[in-house]
Amino acid sequence: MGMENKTLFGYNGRILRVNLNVGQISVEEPPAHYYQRYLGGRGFIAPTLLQETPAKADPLGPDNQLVFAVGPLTGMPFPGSGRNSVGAKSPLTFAFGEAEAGGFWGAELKRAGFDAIIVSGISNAPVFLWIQDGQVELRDAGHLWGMEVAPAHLSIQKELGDQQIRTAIIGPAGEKLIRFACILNDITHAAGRTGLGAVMGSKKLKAIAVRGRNTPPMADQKVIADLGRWMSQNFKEKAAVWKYGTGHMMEGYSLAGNLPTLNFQDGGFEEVKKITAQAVCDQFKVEMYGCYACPIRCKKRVKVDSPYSVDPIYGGPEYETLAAFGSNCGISDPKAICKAHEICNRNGIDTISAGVTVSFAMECFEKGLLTAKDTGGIELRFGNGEAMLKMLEQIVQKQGLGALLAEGSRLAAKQIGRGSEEFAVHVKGLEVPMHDPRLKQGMGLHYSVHPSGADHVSGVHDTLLEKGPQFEEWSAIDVNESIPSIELSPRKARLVYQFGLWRHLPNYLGLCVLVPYSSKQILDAVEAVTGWPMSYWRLMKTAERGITLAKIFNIREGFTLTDDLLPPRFSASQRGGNLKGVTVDPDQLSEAQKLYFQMLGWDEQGIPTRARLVELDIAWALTYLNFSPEKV
Amino acid sequence: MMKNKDTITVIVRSFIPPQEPVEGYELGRPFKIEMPGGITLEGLAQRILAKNINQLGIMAVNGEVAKGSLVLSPGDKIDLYAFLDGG
Repeated sequence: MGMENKTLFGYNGRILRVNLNVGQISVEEPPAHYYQRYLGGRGFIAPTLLQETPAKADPLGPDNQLVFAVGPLTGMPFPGSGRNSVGAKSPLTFAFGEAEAGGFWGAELKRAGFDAIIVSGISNAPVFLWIQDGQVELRDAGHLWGMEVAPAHLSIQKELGDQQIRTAIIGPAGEKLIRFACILNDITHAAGRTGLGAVMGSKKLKAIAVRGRNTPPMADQKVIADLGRWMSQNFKEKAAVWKYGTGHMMEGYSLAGNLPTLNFQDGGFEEVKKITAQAVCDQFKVEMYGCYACPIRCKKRVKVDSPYSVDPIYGGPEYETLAAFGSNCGISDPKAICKAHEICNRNGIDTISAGVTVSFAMECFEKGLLTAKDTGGIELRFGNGEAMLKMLEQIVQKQGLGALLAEGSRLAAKQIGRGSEEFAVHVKGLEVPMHDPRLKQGMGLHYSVHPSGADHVSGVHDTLLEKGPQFEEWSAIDVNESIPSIELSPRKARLVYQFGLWRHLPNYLGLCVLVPYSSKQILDAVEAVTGWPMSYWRLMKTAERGITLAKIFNIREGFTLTDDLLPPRFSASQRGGNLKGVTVDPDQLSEAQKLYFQMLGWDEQGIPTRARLVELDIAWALTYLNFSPEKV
Repeated sequence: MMKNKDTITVIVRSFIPPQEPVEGYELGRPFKIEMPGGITLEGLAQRILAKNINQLGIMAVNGEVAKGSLVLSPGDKIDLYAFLDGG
C-alpha cells in the first residue's frame, strides 16, 4: 500500500465540527493524504489553528478554535494508547497552546467514530457535547455550570444513564477564565498546560461526553496484540513507575540538583524524603490505577482525613505536582501537597502553573514586594503549607491577591513590578515545569524555543543520554553520543533537534511517553495500525512539520527571537548542592538556538525558510508568513 | 550465619529493577546484600542490575552523590537511581 491508499486503518476518517455560535454540528471526511501528512494529535492541531484561528484572535473569544485530536495509536488495544491532544491559542501565553492527557476519553472518542473535534464560536448558554457511536448532540449544561469536576462528571453519567461514559470536562476555574485552567479527562487526567480549560470555559462548553463501541480496524492486529502481550510481561523490568507513579526518585533528583526548590533558587530540598511518591503512597495511597489498556497503572489515588480532607476521587499528586507544591514552595507536609492537588483537580487548574505561581508569590512576600495587607493576612512564606492552600483557594475563587495570581506569573509580575519579573519563572508566560535547565541544558534550549513555552513532555531529558543508555536502540534515529547533561554546545543543539523530533512524536501518535517502548516497537506499531510503510525519517518529518506550523502560528502572532528566552533565574547559580556554580550561559543558549533553527531549516531569526516548507510539503503555510509581525 | 571475612555487607536501595532476581530486592526499598570486599560502587551496580545498568542515572553513598570508582565500606547505604522523567 502506498500514499494513494484510500482505505484508512486505525482512523475513523471523520472529523467533527461544532460551531457554538449557532449550535451547528457537521462532519468532515479528510482525504487519506491528510492523515498521512499530519498523523494526528499535535499534527492535526497545528494546521487547524494556523488556518482557522485568525491572526490576533482573542484567545477567549469566538474566533479561537479549540481542537481535540487523537492519534493513530489512540484507542488501539495495547498499553500507552490512552492519550489525546488538545490545542487552541493560549490565553496564558497568547501563543500556540497545546496539551496532552491520558485516561480513557481519547480512546472512547476514537471508538465513538471521530479522529478530532474542532469547536468554534461561543454558546449563548452553557452546553455540553454528547457523542455516542457517531451521533452528536449539544445538550443544556445550565445545571452543571458552577459544578466542580467530579460531581459534574457523575451528573453527566447519571443524566445519560451510562457509567461507561467518559468526559473531558472543565471545573469552575475554566468557567471563571483562570488563565491556567485545564481540561480533565475522567476527573483526574489533565490536559494541563497553556490554559485550554479557560478557552473551553469561554465557549460555555462544560464538557464533551463520549461513548463508543467500535474500534476502527487495524492493518495488522497480530502485531499490536503481540506488542501488548510483550509490554504486559515486561513492563516491571522496564518502567519503575508502576509501583509509586512518577515522583519515586525525587531523592535522586534532589541530589543531582534537579528538584526545583524555593521558586527555583535551589535544586535540592533538605526534607525531600517527606514528599516523595513513596512517602505519599506509604501514608495515603488508596490504590494505583491507570489508563486505557495499560497494565502499568502509574496513577495513585490518595485519601487524607485530617487536618485536610482529601477526596480520593480526584486521584493523587504526580512528580510535577509533588515538586511544584512541595519543594518549590519549600513545603514538606505531604498532606498539604495532596490537598493542593485535590483543589487543582476539583476546580480544574494546572498544578504546574499553579504551584509555580504560588512559589513566585511566596518569593515576592519574602522579599517584601507583597505584604500581609496584599494577601488578606496570609503569611505567604516558603514552607507554610497552610498559607499555600489558602492562596490556592483565593486563586480558584479569583478573590483578593488570588485574582491577580489567576492571571499567571508573567502577568502577575508585570502588575507587581519592582524587580519581581526577574524571578517569575516562565517561558512565553508558561510556567517552567519541574526539570531544571541548569542540569538539563538541552531541556532549557527546548523550553526556550518551543512554540507553546516551557513544556517538558516533548523535550529532551539530557540526563537520559549522559551515560549513553539505550544507545543501541536509539542509534536507529542517529542518537549515539554521550553528552554531559550540563553541556550546552553545538552537539547538544543537534541532540535537541534530532532526538527532540523523536520526543515530540508520541504527541502525534497518541502514545504515552512513560510506557517504555523501543523506537523500533513504536515504528512497528504505527505500521501495523495504519498499514502505511513507515520509516524513522518519515515519522520525524511529521513531528518537524507540526513544530514548524506551530512556529509560524507564533510568528503571525508577532512572536520574535526576543520571546525565545529562559527566565533570568537560570542565569544564576543554585545556592548550594551538586550544581553550585552551574548556570545557563545566555550566549551559549543564543548560539545553540541559532544552530537549532538552522537544523530545522529556519533562518537565524527563527523564521522557517521557503525551501523547508516546500520540503515538508506545507508550502501552503508560506501565506501566513506575510503577516506583519506586530505583537498582540 | 558465618560471614566470609573477604566480604562486606552493604544496604542497597535501587529504583531500577535487577535484570535477574536478587534476594531481598523490592523497588525503592532498602535491602542488605553481601559483596566482595574492595568492590567499587560501579561494580556493585553491575552485579545487581546486570544489563539493566543502562537505566542507571546517578548513584549515592550515604546520602551523597558518589562516583563509580568509590570503594565501598561495610554498612554503606547505597542508592541507585534511574532517570525516568516526566509527570
